[in-house]
Amino acid sequence: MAAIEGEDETAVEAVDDEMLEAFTRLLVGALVEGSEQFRERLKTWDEKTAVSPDSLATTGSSSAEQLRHTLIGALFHAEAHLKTRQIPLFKRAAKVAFYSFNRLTAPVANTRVSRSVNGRIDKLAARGETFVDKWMATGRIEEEHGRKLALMATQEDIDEFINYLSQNEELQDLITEQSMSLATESMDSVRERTVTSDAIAERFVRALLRRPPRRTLAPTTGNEQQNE
Amino acid sequence: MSNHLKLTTPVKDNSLKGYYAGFVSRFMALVIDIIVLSLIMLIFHASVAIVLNFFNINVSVLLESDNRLTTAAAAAFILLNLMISLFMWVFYFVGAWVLVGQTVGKRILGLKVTSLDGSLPTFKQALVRYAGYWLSAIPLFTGFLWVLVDDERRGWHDKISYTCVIYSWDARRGPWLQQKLLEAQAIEAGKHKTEAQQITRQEANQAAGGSTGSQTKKRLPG
Repeated sequence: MAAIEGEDETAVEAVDDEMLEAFTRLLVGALVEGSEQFRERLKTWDEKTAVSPDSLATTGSSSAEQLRHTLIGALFHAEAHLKTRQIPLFKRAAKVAFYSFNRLTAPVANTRVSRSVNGRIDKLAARGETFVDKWMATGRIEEEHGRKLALMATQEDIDEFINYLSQNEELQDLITEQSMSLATESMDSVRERTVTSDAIAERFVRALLRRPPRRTLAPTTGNEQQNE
Repeated sequence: MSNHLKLTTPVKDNSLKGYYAGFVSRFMALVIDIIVLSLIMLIFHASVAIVLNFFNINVSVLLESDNRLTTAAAAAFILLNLMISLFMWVFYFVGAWVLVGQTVGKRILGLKVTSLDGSLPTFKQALVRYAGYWLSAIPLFTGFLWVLVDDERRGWHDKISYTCVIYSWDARRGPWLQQKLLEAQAIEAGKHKTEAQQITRQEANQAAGGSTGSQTKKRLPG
């Protein structure tokens, strides 16, 4: 009995682990896919909202505006400067520092004692490299898996939602009812206008011809009268 | 104007169902009918053209052919085509009036063609009415415009076929016109009341004149 209970607990834990894994995968997939989508959209928006410098007025701005513009401009120039000058400079500096460090430590590193230590370090590095490669491979697979999972989740949700909408009778009735009432209202409105126009046109023509007004009340004819 | 309107139509409930329909509604209905019929005719003629094209038959070429039989056949075909078109026009209007009293246009605008007793027109009446359309159209559409001046809002084609066109829906005027009518009715009611009071006073005076002098001096009730 206790053994069966133990197996059950293990099975539950395994299911929980799988769920956690799937959830993590979904989270990663959604994050990657979402950020990619966002990046693409941001790029499109950026292109669409580009402003030509010729279209802006250069004069007539207040000193506060000028200061604000200067600060914003400085921010963008700093970024551009960093991209074109500073980053290559840092790279070069790092290269020089590495080379200098190697040269400085060469006499110590090439001794017999240090060789055995170097061998161990190389082994550790190789092992670390294997781990990194393994993680990279797992990451690549999981990223793809997560993306697919996220897409499927959103797609299925959308499909289910559309299915729900199309199969919901109450909603269909509501839409039909609304459409019908809108059509009826429009038709009634057109009819009402024509009825008003009937009277106005008649008034105009009768006034023009100086005809006396109609003295008899228009009769409601047989069937129609009975229906009322 | 206000007199004319208030005397021809009811005001209080603003419902004109069963009353004679006016010119604009009828004209709009006729325009819709012509559009519908034109579409039907277009489809018919396009179908005929497709069939002829399929068999590589060109009627205008056949009509100018040296062979008399071919020319006669082409002429007969054109005549038949015209006859079918005419029949479609007649069938559309006459059929609709006889069966339901409404064509598509009249249905949309809530109008109905009836006999003077309120029943649906007979086939003969409908046929005469259709012929009356042409009669009304010949003198610069005077027969149609007659609806504007006729007390019963009937055109020549209505008169010769003993039919009329009525509102088949719970027709009502727009709020602006309705307000005007109510105002006019209130003025009219006030005027009638004054006239009635004057008549009552005169009658009372006459009655008093026949009796004693002291009685004539009596103040009459207002």
